[in-house]
Amino acid sequence: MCDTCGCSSSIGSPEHRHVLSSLGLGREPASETIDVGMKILLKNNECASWNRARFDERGVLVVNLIGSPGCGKTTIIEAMARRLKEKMVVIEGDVRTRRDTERVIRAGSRAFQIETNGACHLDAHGIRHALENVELDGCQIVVIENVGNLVCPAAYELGEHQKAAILSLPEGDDKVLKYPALFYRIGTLLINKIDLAPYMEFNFYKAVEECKSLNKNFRAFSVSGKTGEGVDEFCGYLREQANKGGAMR
Amino acid sequence: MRTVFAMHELSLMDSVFDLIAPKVRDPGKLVAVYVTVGPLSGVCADSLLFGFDLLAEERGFDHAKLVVERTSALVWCEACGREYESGDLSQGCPSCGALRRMVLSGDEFTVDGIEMEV
Repeated sequence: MCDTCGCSSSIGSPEHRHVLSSLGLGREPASETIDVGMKILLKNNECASWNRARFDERGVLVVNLIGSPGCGKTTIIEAMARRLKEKMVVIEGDVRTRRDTERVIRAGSRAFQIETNGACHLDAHGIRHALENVELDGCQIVVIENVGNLVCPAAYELGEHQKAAILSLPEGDDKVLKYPALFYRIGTLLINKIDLAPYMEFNFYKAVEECKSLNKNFRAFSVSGKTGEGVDEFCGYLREQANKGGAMR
Repeated sequence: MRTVFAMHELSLMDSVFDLIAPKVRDPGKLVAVYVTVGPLSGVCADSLLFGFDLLAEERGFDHAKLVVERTSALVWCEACGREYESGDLSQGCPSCGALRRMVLSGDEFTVDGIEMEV
């Protein structure tokens, strides 16, 4: 028996599922247990629901775009901006700098920068604050470009209609099952930098099948933010979803 | 202006403390906090532990410990029909090895209860 947490397996064995903090050892007082039964991200998710209600009032489709640093999030958004112009508004998330906002504005869409100053992901409160300053008139699609990261953004609802994850060819086709919490939650998989296909060994079938092993509710698009290949199709899909009313995973 | 924690498990522990606060009459009498973390929650259980150790004392929970139950994902194998628990979704079905499957659960991230000294 584990004599620290009282479970029947020994510490270190695969069955030992309890992890304890270093505080509180050595005392066994008489105690009572009080039920709590709450989701820890409750406050974030309530704020996300509020954000979503504001977006739905305006009839805009909101996509939370997630991917590693350098996978091509901003380049894809620039390609979308050249096509969608004032119909897209972008909320940019980065630890520091306004670089991505400036790129998007030059490409033709309105953009608003959130600098997290250290946080590794955007959260619903950051988006709520951004909504006080973002002009959504005439826009059909909002893209939230999350902080470059395949890990942390997965857990945080922002008020989006769906998460879109980018996996680029140079990153390799074996990444989906390394980041299951993200790919489990996405509505769109964007396989990017397909212009590099002649120089990369990337098995598209493997990447998509691994994603299907976690998630039955996503669409896959092969794109190149650089050449624009596949971007028309992706924009067409988003406009179709926006026209349907935006409600989806 | 709200506090932003640089490490996000600190901010998650802060949320846990906010959620339990109404039920804790005397912080010095909190003995344990029980949390469930699933493999698809997107949260690192060990980092929660670290966050708990950093924040608990400053909130007056001097005698408390964090108990994390790590659940498994419940999976249905599409190839052979077996239902199984998986702690590692990079592995296929324990019966037939297939990755063709449907994930039924695994994204839990809850604070389930607290233990108070009486």
